[in-house]
Amino acid sequence: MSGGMIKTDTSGLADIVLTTKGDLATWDTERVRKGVSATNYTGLQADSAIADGLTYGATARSTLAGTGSLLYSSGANTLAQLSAGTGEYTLKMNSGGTAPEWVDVSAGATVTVQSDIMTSDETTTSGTFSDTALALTCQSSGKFFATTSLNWAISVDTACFFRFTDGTTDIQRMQGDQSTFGGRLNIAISDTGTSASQVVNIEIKTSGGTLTLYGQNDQATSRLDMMEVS
Amino acid sequence: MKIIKFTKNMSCDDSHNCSDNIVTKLESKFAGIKLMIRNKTDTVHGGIHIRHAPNSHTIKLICYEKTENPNNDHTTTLKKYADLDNLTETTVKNALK
Repeated sequence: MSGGMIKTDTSGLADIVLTTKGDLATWDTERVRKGVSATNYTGLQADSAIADGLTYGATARSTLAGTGSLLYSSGANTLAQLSAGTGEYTLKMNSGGTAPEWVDVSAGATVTVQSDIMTSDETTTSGTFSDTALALTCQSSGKFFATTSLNWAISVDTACFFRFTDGTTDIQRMQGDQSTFGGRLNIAISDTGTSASQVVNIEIKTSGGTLTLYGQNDQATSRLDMMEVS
Repeated sequence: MKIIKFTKNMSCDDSHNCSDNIVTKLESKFAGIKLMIRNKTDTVHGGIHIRHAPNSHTIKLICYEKTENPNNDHTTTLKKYADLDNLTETTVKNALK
């Protein structure tokens, strides 16, 4: 007899209690038979709710049935299997935050970059804003980051103004003057819209003399760039 | 604001000088008109915005239709040109010939 069974136990002999391959002898108020689990790969686990304090329950081995499967908890003390995902898929939590799932990462965000580069100089003597050739239209999402680089000069000691608009509304203004004569000015905006046809453009005006926005100088061409996320 | 916009088959090497020449021509052809702010407290009737594309300059003449006194946005006085009705695409084009 293996397992250290005690021949003198008053509840009976182990070779009488145990009847089936895999049976165990255990104890509640007397020696009793613990029948082997009918399910392969389950394991014997302590459970105070059971009379003899033992139960057969799922194990990682009994839960994971396929190659590449993952083990997770579907509830308190409950094992569950997530079958292998499709090739190149990424693991993430489901929308309810209750279980992992596989998703196609190719369905992620798309970044679109547009540029508008001036090919001709523009000049203005106007004291009110006038639009330039620099304009871009948001293609789909309305969520974008736009930045501009302006290379300019003004003919007299006065101020000039640059305005970033969303097509109609003043978003941001910058002012230059003779102290920054011929300088390169960079301004940036980040804006979120809801229209797929959202326009951003650059407008200029001067408070004296002629304001020149350079567009044909290869070293310092004025430009507008937009990065859109959809 | 009255805007007269047209293209003219011309090219230039110096856009600043090109703009000044066009302003000078228009100011000489249309009596009393001022299209450039030369001093901070000038009274002007409008301005010229030009896109200097080779062989295809886009010229936009901006003319004020109301008087607007100096304010936070500008130190100049904006004034309607007395002979504004005479400013048409045809008369402006002829002035630039």
